[in-house]
Formats: sequence, structure tokens, C-alpha cells
Amino acid sequence: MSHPLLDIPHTVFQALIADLARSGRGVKESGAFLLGRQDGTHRIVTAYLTYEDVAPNSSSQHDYVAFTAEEMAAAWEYCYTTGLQVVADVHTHPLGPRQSPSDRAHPIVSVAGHVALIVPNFAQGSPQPRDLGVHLFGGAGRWQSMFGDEAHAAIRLT
Amino acid sequence: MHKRIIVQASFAPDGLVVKVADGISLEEMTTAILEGLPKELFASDLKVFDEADDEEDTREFAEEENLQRGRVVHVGRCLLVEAKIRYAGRIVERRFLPVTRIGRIKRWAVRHLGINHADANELVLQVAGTNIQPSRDKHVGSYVEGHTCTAVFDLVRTYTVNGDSSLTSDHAALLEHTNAAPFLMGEMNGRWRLRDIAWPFAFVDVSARDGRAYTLRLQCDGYPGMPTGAFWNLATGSWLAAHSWPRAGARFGGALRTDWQNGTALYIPCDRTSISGHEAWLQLHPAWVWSPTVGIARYLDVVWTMLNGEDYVAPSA
Repeated sequence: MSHPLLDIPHTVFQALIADLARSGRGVKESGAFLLGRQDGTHRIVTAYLTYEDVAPNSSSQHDYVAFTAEEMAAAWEYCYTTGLQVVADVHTHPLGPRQSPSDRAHPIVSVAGHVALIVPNFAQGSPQPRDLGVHLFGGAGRWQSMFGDEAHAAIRLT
Repeated sequence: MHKRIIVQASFAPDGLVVKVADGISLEEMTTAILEGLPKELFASDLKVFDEADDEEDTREFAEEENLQRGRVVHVGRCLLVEAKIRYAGRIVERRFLPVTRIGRIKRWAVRHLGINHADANELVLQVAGTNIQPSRDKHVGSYVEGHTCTAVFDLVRTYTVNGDSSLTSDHAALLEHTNAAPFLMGEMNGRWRLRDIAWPFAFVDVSARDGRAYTLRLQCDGYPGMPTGAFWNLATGSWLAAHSWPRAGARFGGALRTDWQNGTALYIPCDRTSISGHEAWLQLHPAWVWSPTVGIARYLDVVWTMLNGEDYVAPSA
């Protein structure tokens, strides 16, 4: 990969991981919409919206990531009022950063080029970009996954 | 002979049925439809749009519409409706005839948002600010906001699930118990706090009478079978040194003994290492016996009880 897929300010990344870890408490999955702007294939994250904040009911009822149509619409409304786009999403897994069947079947944003990050171990232990799974949606159910050095290269902390 | 015409309108979201005489002219039919509306709904500026007068430019997005003149009409004030479709911070908009079906608009929006047709199956249009998801044969003109000619929709998935279901059954059982009432009650009452689970180990801080917290590391493989463990030093990543252990009086016998298993298992009936060879405890201390139903909260409750008795003694170190 010649350039990173995502630029994330270091402080935003740290706060995001801390929020995911706090929300999941090491026992349940948590996640967030990563918001910002997209320039071609380059995505710049400037903020995030946690599923816990935008989908409090579903987040409290399930140990996995889930939200209703109303909760997804609430996220879109937030984007509309802030002028930000969902440039990626992130959620935690109890174990590794590979996609589950439901992750592959249900992209959070079904536009080719969308990036889904998976943070292992419920985001406990201050994971870094190389610990994450970076999954690039290619449309029509296709994904390209990156781990380790590739994941490190795909996420640039600024 | 009469025929029935279905009328869609913003003031009649479920549609109305109006009977008109068969064989009348288009102009007569329009008048008959307006006159057939309930009196409280009639207004002089209402117009009638027939589904068959659809827009050629958007026909490629039609799907099984089977439009027929004089069968389904739209009644409203707007000559065109500005439809805005929001999706993940993107927005596409276009003016449509008010009689345009929602299914056609969804397909148009999906194309212009760059979504593959196959990926759009689970997506529906939802009227912004509501939980209304119009069926694909409804008219966009029925969803204008107030007295405007604008309709705003969110493109959403009816229900989204992500996550990993590859947990082992014992890990999943532990997670379930940490979200069950006995465990959560202890947390809410400040008796203990889950610090982390690094499977197969659970790290839990248990509060003592003097406000100190002792971290337990419990090995939970085989859960909801009994765990085993003892106090843990997070700073060093090792078992808590004997001189840092709390003490309890005779009431709890030698439960907090540091010489047992070199301080790697508490000497209590709900610890799987310690119960082995001590089956008599099951009769002597029934309240401290492991319960697969209560789970980890039972172990923690036993430890909390020891740390909060009158005979609790803090370590000198």
C-alpha cells in the first residue's frame, strides 16, 4: 500500500481506544463510527461517535454490536448536523482482529472503499494500529483484510 | 358501473379508496377524485397525479411497478417534491414527481450513493426523524415535511449486527455471568469491580472493610465450573506476596492462608484447586459451596465476606 487508508490524530486514537475499553469493560463488544472527511481514497478522521452514545438501548442489551434502524438514523442525523461523514467504523472483538461472518455480511456502510477496524481483546491493554484488523470493503460482499505491518501502514497516527 | 381508485396523499398515509364512474374522461375523473375525498380533507389547491404519468428519466430505477392509468393516484399540493436521502454523512437529492414510488427513489439513491445493488438489499428508506419505513409502492409526495415540498429520508439497515461469535463456551458463560444480577449487584454496591478479562483469567478487585481493594486473579477455563485463584499483584504481574495478604480471624479458619498452594489458590470450598480432597466442606460450609448458577459472584461474595468481617486485619506491608 503506497499511502495510509486512514489518518487519525494520535489524541483521537488514544481517546477512542480508551472509550472502547471503558465501554466494553473487558466483557462485551463496543464500537464507534469514525467521522471526518474523505479525499479520494484518503480518509481523515477528526471525531468519533460511540455506539454506546448513539445506540444506548441496543448497547446495553447485547454483548455484541447491534443497532436498530432508528439508532442508525440517529447517527446519520448527527452526521447531517455536524457536516461530517462516516469514513470508517470500529468495533472490538473478545479475541482476534479478524472479521466474523456477521462483520463480513453486514458492512456498517455499504459503500465500496469503506474501512472497518476491529480491535482485539475488547480494546484492553492499549492496543496500537498494528494490533488491529483493517478491513477494506470492496462492494458486493468483498473485503480486503490487513493485519500487523499492513495494518500499521494503513492507519497513520498524526 | 363504478371503479375504485386508490388515493395516496400526505393527509392519508394509509391511502384512501375513492369510487368513480367507469368510462369517464380524465378531467371528469380528476374532479370525481377530488369530490370523493372526505370534506375535511378537501382543499382548492389540491392536484391529482396519476401513477401512469411517471417520469421517463427515472424509469430505469423502476422495479415491478406495473403502472396502470386510473388505478393509483396521488393527491397533493406540490408539483415536484425535493427528495433528500441521507446516508452516513453523504446526501443525494433530486426533484421527483410526487407520485414517484419510494422503491424507485431508493434504487435511484443507492445508485448515486455508490452502493452496489446487491449490498442494498438490507437497506430501506426511513422518513427522517420518525420510525416510518414506507413500503416501496408508496408515493414520495406522501412524506413531505409539513407544508413544504421537501421529503427527507435516511437510508438505513433494518437491523445491524456485527461482532464475533467465536467465543469458547466457557468464556461466553463467564461473560454472561458478569452481566447477570448477582455479579452486577456486587459491583453496584461497591463490593467488587471487574478490572479485566484476559481469557482464561478474570481480574476482579474486591473491597475490604478499610477501603482497600485486593485484586483476585481467577482462572476460569471450564466455567461455569469452579474457578481457581488468589490475590494478584498487578504491578509485578505475579501472585501477591504473603506479607501483603489480608488476614481474617478464626471464624474463617485458615481460608486466607498463604502456605496453601504457595498462595495461588484460596483455601475455600468454591475454589476448584482447594475443594479437591476437602469434600467434607460441602456439608460444613454449604453457603460457600460453588454454584454454577450464581457463578463467579459466589466466589467473590465469599472473599468479600472475609475481607469485611470484624476480624479482618490489613497487611502490615
